[in-house]
Amino acid sequence: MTEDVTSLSADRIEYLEGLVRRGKTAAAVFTQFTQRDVDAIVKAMVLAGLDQAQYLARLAIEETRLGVLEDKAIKNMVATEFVYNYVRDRPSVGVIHEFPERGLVEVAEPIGLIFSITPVTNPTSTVLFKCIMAIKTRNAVIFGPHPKAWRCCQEAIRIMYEAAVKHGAPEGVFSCLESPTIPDNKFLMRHKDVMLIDATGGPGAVKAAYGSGKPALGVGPGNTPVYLEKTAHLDMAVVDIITSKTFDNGTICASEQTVVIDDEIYDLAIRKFAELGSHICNQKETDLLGRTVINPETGVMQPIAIGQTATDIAGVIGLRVKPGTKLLIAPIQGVGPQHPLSVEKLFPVLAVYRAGSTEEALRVCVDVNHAGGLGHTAVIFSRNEEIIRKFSDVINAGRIIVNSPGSIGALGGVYNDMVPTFSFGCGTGGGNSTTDNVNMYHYLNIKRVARRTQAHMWFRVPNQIYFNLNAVENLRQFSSLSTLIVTNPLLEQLGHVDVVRRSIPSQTQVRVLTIPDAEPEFKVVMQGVDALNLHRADQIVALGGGSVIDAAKLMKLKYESPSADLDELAAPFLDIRKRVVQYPTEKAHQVRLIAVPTTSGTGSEVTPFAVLIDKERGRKITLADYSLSPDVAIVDPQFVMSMPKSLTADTGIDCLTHAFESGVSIHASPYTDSNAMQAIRMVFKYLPIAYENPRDEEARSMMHNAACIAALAFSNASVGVNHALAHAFGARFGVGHGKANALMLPHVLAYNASVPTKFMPSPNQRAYVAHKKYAMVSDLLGLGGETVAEKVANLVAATGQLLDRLEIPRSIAELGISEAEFERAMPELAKAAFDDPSWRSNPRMPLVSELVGLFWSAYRGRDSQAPLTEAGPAKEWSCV
Amino acid sequence: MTTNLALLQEAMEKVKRGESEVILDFASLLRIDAVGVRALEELAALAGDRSAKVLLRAVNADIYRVLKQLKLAERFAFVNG
Repeated sequence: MTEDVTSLSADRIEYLEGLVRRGKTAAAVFTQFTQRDVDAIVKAMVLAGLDQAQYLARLAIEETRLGVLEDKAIKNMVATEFVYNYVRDRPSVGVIHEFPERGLVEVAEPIGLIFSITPVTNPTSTVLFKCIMAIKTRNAVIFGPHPKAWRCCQEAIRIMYEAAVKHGAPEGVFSCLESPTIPDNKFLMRHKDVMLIDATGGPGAVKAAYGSGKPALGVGPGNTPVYLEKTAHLDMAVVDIITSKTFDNGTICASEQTVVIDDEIYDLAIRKFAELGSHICNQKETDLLGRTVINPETGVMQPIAIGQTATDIAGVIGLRVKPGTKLLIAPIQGVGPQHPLSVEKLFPVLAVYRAGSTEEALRVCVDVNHAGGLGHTAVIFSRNEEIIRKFSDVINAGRIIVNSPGSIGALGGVYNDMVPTFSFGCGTGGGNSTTDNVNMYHYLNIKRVARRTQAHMWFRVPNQIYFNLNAVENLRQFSSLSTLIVTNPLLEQLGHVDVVRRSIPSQTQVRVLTIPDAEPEFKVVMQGVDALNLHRADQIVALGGGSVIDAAKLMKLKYESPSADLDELAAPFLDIRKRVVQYPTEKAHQVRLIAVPTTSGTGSEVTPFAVLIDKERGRKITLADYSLSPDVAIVDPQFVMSMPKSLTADTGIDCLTHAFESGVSIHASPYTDSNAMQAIRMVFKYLPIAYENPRDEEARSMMHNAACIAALAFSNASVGVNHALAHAFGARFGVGHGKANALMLPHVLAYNASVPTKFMPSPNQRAYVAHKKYAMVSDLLGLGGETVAEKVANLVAATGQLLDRLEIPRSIAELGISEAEFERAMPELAKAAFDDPSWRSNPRMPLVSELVGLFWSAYRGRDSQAPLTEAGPAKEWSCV
Repeated sequence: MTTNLALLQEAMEKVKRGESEVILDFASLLRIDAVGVRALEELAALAGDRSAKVLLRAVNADIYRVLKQLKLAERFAFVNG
């Protein structure tokens, strides 16, 4: 007879469709039930199952002729009482788990109609188990029992169904195929209204389930290796193995199959097995067993032996054993086709192997595991934790049972705290989707309700900042045996180094390292490290602009942590808290870094950033970590009084850009906002004065402070697209950082103030507020305007006026770069800007085409700003 | 309360009498059971045959979900309570 669904008659199909209709309706109706409803039904079913445990065991024995009555009764009780104990207090309706600290809630969603195949070896217990799981999770089930266990299963289903419906379960919630056939199974497995197949059965059924294209839970065959290791408690081990292997005549697929015994205890173990009622086969008997209970052609066990007693099996093959023999033990010398008893044997025949060493024992266990038992169960008896761990590593089994019986241990809840089950997931090794003990959670769709969370933010700054004229004198308070001043030649010529040296306590040994006034190369950093090592320095004073301070940061890093790999530490990241690389925490030296800036722009004296130039590879490496931040910043305006006008303008605009960009950054917070806002106000007021009257002490001091304050903001909120554009343009055309920023700034303000083409994902921002923040700045500066758009327009105009006053070119064209040259450079510029990490904190996510547009706006200058967008009134500066 | 079969029967009668539109009030119904589902299926079939429109009023989300899951929802019109 064909096993295809086409062999089904019209009547049979109508019958099957009827089962599906009933089950589907029951499942739909069941969705309305509460936790209290299902718990009451489950309890009633469990009590009914317990009440009928022995009756069902007897039915199973009578029908299948497999196993042991008493053991089957125990299995029925485990399937009800133990499973109930597991599910009783576990929510399965509505919210089932809550993780308030993560803002997550898990909500149960029933699966619907399940088609469930049950085995001949554990028929009624598996039915009881699955009925309880289904009701607990508000699902309906059509059962397809093994044909040789159909009647007992049908009775178990009837008992469960009647108890369930009596206590309110929807009618039709369970049904059982009458006279089930393989075509029936295939029909149901492929039915559109069957939502899940739960196949506990032989490999054929499991394969068909997975091959149906439906979500399926399948379990697989086992071949449980047991390692009886020399440190094991031998008496316990022997009893446990006999208990397990004889339980229900070995029909549980997790039961022991081959026991690998260390040579040191082999003879004693065998003697104990014999003393407790096992028959130890000689070679001839082993060969006879192998030929008779294992099919020589297929290499799998003969069905006739399954679930029979040891004495029955011995009798059938003519083996003389003592009456009451529990177990037939057959020594084997290897695993594989030449050793037929090394496969799964669901009857009380146990193979044993003498292992000459731990390594050999583990190898043989792996062989058994791979001989049909992948993913299922393994057992070890040992008191050596290292060997238990090794066994767990090398054996592929969903359940590794330690110092307890395999079959009953794997069921869970009796000898251990595993989840009670009658379905053993075998993972991919067994062609299954799970290695779990199948349980109620496999009968649920679990919905995750994820609430918006706010990432923890921070405001991290150096411990100490000293400012105002002569603040450098604070150096006196820092004790040091050996200090290295890192600076550049010009500052030494200007006498600044002497000023610093005079402020350092006289007992301190002071050395000076002058480095080029340019972004530091690696070799410069290593020169510094050599000097620090030579002088065993405990303090670095970095006197200079951003390049000197950056160099000193990296010197400190390499001095304290010589193995730090700067290339690796510069790896890109999206979120500093989740970055791949970790900065070193173990330090060879502890050295204090004091930064004394001599320009008013970069703010490097308080930032966690350092830039290194890699000339060989023609690139810059940016390192960012709060461990790079100087320990002390001394913001003394005496060192900037002689700054040239153009440097004053460029660095001042760099500072302004830091403040603007950190102010609207997606990482902005009230802490950074206050600094950004203050810095902007100070720049607008004092930069023109400092530019036009370089000796104005107040203006110089305020601009020096403004640079540091803006840096406090962008150290914590980062910068934005302006910096990405300026980095790309500056590097390509050799234009200084401040000037490059200035060329982009008005255009970026207008760009960020308009409605984004793409919003930047930013969990800490509740709305797009860049335009409102700019309007707040406009109000702060008293620029006038009624609407946000007017205020932003006034701010852009005021920024342009500031740039004009500082005599900064207002277009790239003014730098003498031809349009043709700029056009040629555009692909490279766009790529470099897009690759730059700075824009990742910009409020508006720039498309590459928008970067190109911004570059062209900057090229053409003042009349090509992006149009502003009308928006609501400005309400708040802080966006959080 | 669960399904009110009397109301369903009444609705069936109205459709049989030739009424072109019948309203069933679900306002007091908390749950629907398998019997109610079957009755609604019959009502939908009858209404389809007679080209009558059946409006379900004030159906709660739990019951609506059941009807949706059984593909019954598309056979009725729904009105607010």
